[in-house]
Amino acid sequence: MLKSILSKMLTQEKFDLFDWLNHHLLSCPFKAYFGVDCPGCGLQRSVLALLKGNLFDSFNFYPATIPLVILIIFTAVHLKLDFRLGALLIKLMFMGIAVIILINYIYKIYNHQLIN
Amino acid sequence: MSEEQGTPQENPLDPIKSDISASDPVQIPPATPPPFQQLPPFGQFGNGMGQQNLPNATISLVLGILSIPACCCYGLGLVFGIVAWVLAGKDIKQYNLNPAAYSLSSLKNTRAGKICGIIGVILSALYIIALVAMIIAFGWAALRDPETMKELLREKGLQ
Repeated sequence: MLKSILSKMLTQEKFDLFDWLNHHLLSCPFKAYFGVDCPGCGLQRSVLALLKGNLFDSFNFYPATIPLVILIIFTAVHLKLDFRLGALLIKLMFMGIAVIILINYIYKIYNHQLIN
Repeated sequence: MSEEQGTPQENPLDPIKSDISASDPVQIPPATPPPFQQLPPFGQFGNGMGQQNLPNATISLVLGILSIPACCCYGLGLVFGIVAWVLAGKDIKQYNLNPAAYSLSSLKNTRAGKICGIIGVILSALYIIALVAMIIAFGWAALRDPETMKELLREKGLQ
């Protein structure tokens, strides 16, 4: 794996990190065995889209990604600086994210998007 | 200033020096901590006020939050959530035994970690229940083969 990257870099082929990542996504066991989406499916595609800067695509793949990223950054800052209402905010954001994930999964079930 | 200049050692022509010497006796008492207070450990959040943080506050918070992104990755979310829940529960018990020794901010973080862990466990459990329900409803063979699965769904009028 590393060898192929290095050889590509050495031969100065155009190396696209996103392209490489797209072909090396981890697929969850549920999806790999059954072909049916699990509640977390789409997270990696969504993070990749976010890294590329496509907010809309990211939301389409997995609506909870943007709040999750915000939550993780906020938690890091909170652990460093210790805001007074930080713990409460983290709790509320976490509950919101859980609700978003559940709604997203139910929406997927109702719209028959589970089986690709 | 008039009191400071009254001391015999000070030079009245040098106001800066006299300021420093005057402020010294004021600064000394808070600089030496009382013997019963412990110094806060390295790397803690909050100024401590002589109180320790709960030992697992940060870990339980981080694990509780990570239990959602790891929700479907090989059941890792369940593990993270349970670990966060247990660690936070232990710490809250420890705090209740001796509330004065630990800082309030770390207690808040621990509680947040506990709640995040509980939510993560609930989500992971729902996912596992859904998985088992699907296996029971459709059978292992149908799930392994997407075409028979689609046929089954068509028969049942779901798709």
